[in-house]
This record gives sequence, structure tokens and C-alpha cells, in this order.
Amino acid sequence: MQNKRGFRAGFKKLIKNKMATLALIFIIIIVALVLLAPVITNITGFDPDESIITDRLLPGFWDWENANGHILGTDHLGRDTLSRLLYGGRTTLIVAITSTSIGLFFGVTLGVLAGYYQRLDNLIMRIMDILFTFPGTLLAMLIVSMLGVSTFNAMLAISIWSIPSFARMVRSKVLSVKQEEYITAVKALGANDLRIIIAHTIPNILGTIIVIATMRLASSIMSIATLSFLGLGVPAPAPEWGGMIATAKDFMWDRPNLIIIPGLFVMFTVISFNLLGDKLSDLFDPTLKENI
Amino acid sequence: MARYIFKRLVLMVFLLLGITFIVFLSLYLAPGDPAELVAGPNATADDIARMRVFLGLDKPLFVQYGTYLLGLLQGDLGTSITTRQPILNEIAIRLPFTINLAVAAIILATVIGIPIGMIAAVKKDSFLDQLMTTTSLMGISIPNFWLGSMLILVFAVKLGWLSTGGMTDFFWTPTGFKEVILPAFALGTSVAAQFMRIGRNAMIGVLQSDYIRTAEAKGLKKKRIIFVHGLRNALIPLLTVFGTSFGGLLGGAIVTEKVFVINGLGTYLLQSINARNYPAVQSTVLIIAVMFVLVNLVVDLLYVVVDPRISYE
Repeated sequence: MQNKRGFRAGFKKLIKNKMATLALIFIIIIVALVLLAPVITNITGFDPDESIITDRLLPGFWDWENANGHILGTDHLGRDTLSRLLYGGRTTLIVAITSTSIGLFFGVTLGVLAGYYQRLDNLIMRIMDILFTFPGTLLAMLIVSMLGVSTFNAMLAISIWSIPSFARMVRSKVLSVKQEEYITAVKALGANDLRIIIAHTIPNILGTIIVIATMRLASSIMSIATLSFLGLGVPAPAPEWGGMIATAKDFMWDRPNLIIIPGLFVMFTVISFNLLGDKLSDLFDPTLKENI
Repeated sequence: MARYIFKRLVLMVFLLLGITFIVFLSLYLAPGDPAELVAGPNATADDIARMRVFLGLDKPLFVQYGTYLLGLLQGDLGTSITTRQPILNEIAIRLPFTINLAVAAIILATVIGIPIGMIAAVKKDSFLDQLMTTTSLMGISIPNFWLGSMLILVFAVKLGWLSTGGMTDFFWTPTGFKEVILPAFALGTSVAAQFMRIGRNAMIGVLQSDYIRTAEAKGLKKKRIIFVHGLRNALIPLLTVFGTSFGGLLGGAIVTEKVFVINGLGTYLLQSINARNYPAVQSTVLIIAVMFVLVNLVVDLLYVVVDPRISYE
């Protein structure tokens, strides 16, 4: 009960913060747009994968007379940019959300185990340390290069890459929660480990987990876009924001909009999640900021 | 202190073993027979059988790992499948370009990020502070491959001031400087933003501490307090970020090199991935990870020198 009230109060504070509200609204708009992608493309009448040979490299709404109905123009194969952006956003967000969730599940499990059971601590955390020594998306690149390029493999690679961040933060939180008197109290009442972890530890570190998850979403979006840009993420011709930037690079002299627009989508989505994570950490756990 | 250094070195050896083990095992992730992969697409069944014996794949896994480690210790990074040259030589030719780019980027990030962070801290909660904090958030969130393309579009194509890519010389020469400025900016922006954030928070913490109040009470000039008493202590947390962001730079360099057509480690890695040149992929990843570990070792050791209060756990 106490906790619920805490969350509601936190949410109210979040709404009061202008930047965070803006970020939240932007995220809702993006999610709504990509969910409604089939509806919107139905209205505009352009399939994301359909190339109209006569409509190659058309401008968009800024030169409407020549746009031939394409609101954001077309690429070098005559595919509608708006449709590809919407469907590409779907892929980007699905990959980011799935891989963050998988990373969250395994990271939190490992972090709780390491924090709660002293015996497992060294083993788990040293493995996490090793995973941390592969900077940036290098680990994801190694995994994808060995498994082969596919959306699933990219998702798997980003999931594995997300695990250590969750594990490390959760472990340190569990270590401090474990010292609390109420944990000693439930232990004295005879609660078993599983009950202590699920009913008494996790709810108290939930704020931390939410903050890390929000920030990891931002990193995952960036990673899948980066991998696709390098040709190691979502394989062509399926649309994806990073992949769209990669193909647009060859045509940016004539049609800079092809590269500017998907880049802005990546940037503002990532900013929004980072901003939200930043403000959430102010609410839930101000000490987190230094560590992420 | 000796104990700390010893423990830190033990940790490093452990990390290096872990990295080599993961890189070694990664080949087994690849679909199919490693001998077939290493032998290349045109190999006959006979070639593959010989390759299996040559690679020691008929031996137990740990014996294979031991042989791999022994080879690494002797500087043997394997042979490239595509060129049949020692991978060590191929990496040695390209490594200077990557280091050149990473160093230029970190210098740029330092020069831009730290002063801005300090100004934001001193003017905490002012409009300037908010502007700078928002800008830094943008800096962290901007995809560096996109920023790189935008820079090319504006400064190379529209304005024609700089070249669209390539790297032939080091950044301290006039040609090298012109070549490195755009890629270093694309790569260094996110690091500059991190330096700004951490530097700002550190400086705010320092400015609230007792010794700053003492310095103020003594009647010292504000400039002296900030630069002599404040800055030195605010730099300590920045040192740690320096280590971790160097890793980020090495990872980011792979992408930046592709955007700016720089023939460094990143381009080599991508070429090797596309050519299914597995030994080259393994060795390049290994080299980048090892560089990261070594930089962090140096940073951790410097940390003890800079802040004597620190001790290992």
C-alpha cells in the first residue's frame, strides 16, 4: 500500500516536470505511430517494401507538387519514406524492448543471486566484469559476426550485452537492502529465501530497476540502429532506422532528407528515454545517476 | 598501496584470461565446423581434415584453449583467411589510425567537455546551466554515425572546407589535423557530454564541501577557489570516466571509421566480418578489449596516485 502511494506521488511529480512530460508525450506519440503503422500506410496507400520505379528519390511535403503523394519523399528504389520509418520504428522498438526485457530478467536474477548469496557473488560478478571489458557494441558485434546476421541474432546479442548493467546495479542495491532491519525481522519470522527475495527485496529495488530499464532502452535503440547501420542488425530490405541511414548515405548529396529524418527519429527517441530515465532516477534513486 | 597494485594486477590477469576465453569460444558459436570455417569456402574435404589437425580441433577443448593462449603470448594472432598473412601484421598497419582517431577524439572531448561542465557547476541552476545540461543530454543521445554523416554533409559537401573522409597522417601534422577534425568531433561528442555531466556533478559536490567554505572564509578570490581548490578535486571522478569512455571511443571508432572511410581496426573488423574471416574477427575484438583493460589499469593506478584515500575495496 505504502509503495503504491509512493509510485502515484512519484508519477505526479514526474508530470509536473516539464522536460520529463515532454519526453513522455514524445514516447507515447512514437509508440502510437508505430503501432498504427498499418492504418497510416493504408491511408497514404504506400507499402514500406513496395518500390515504385517512377517515384525514385522524390521530395516530400516541402515540395508537394513533385512529391506524388509521398509525405516524406521516397528513397533510391522508390519506396515511401514515411511507411519505412513507421515500420522501421516498429522493428527498432520491438528489438529494443525485447532485448531490454531479456537483459532485465537475467540481469536482475543474477544481480539478486549475487547480492543475496555471498557464495555466488564472486563467480557471478567476475563473469559480469569480463563481459564489461568489451566496450560499446563490440560484444554484440562479436556475437552477431559469429552467429550470422539476422534480427533475432542482433536481439540476442543486445540482450546479452544488457545483462551486466542490470546485474551490477541490482547487486549493489540488494546488498544494502539486505542490511535493513525489516529483512532481519521477516527472517526471524521464518520466511524462506524465495519469499524474502520476491516479497521483500524486489519491491524495494523496483525503482532502481525501472530507472535502469528506461536508460537501457535508450542504449538498446542506439545499439540496434548502430548494428543495422553497420549491416549487422536487421538485414535489408526490411526497414530499420539505422539501416535507412546507411542506405541514405549514398544519396545524401541529392536528398539529404533521406538521412536527416531517420536520424532525428533515432535521436529524439533516445533523448526521450534518457530524459525520462534521468528524471525517474531523481524520483526513485538519486544516487544512481553517478553510476550509469 | 603495494597490496592494492598487486590485487589490481591479479584482477587484470583474470580479466585477460576471461576475454581470451570468450573470444576463443566465440568461434564455436558460428554455425558449422570451425575447421571448415577457417579453411575457407573453397576448401576440399581433405583440406578441412588437415585444417582440423592443424588447428588441434581433434584435441580436448581446454588443450585447444591452452594452445591458443600460448600462441597469443608469443604474439601469434593467427593467419588471415583472405590474405594468408599473419593477422598481427595486418592489425599493426591499421592500429595507428584507430589510436590517432581515439586520442584526437578524447583530446577534443576534454577540451570541450570539462570547461563546460565546470562553468555549469559554478553557475548551477542558471539558464546557462540548464542549456548546457540539455545540450549534454543531446550529445549522449545522438547516434555518432548519423552525426558523422551530417558533418560530412555540411562541412565537406555544402561548405567544402574539409574532405569527406580518409586518413593519411597523424593529427599533429597539418594534413592529419584537417583529416581528423570531423571524425574526432563525431566520435568525441558523446564523451564530451559525459565529461560535462560527471564534471558538473563532481564540481558541485566539491563546491559544497567544508574546505571550500574554509577557503571562502579565508577571503580567497573566487577564481583561486575554483581553479586551485575545486578543479583539482573535481578531476578525480573524471579520471574514472576517462577510462570507461576510452572503451566507448574504441567501440565507437568502428562506426566512425566506416562513416569516414578510415582504414583502421574498425574497418578491418567489418571487412573481416563480411568476408567471414573468423580468426581476424576474433583477434581484432581481442586487441580492442585488451587495450580497454590496459587503459583502465593505468587509470586505476593513477587514481591511487591522485587520491591517496582510495584503497581496494
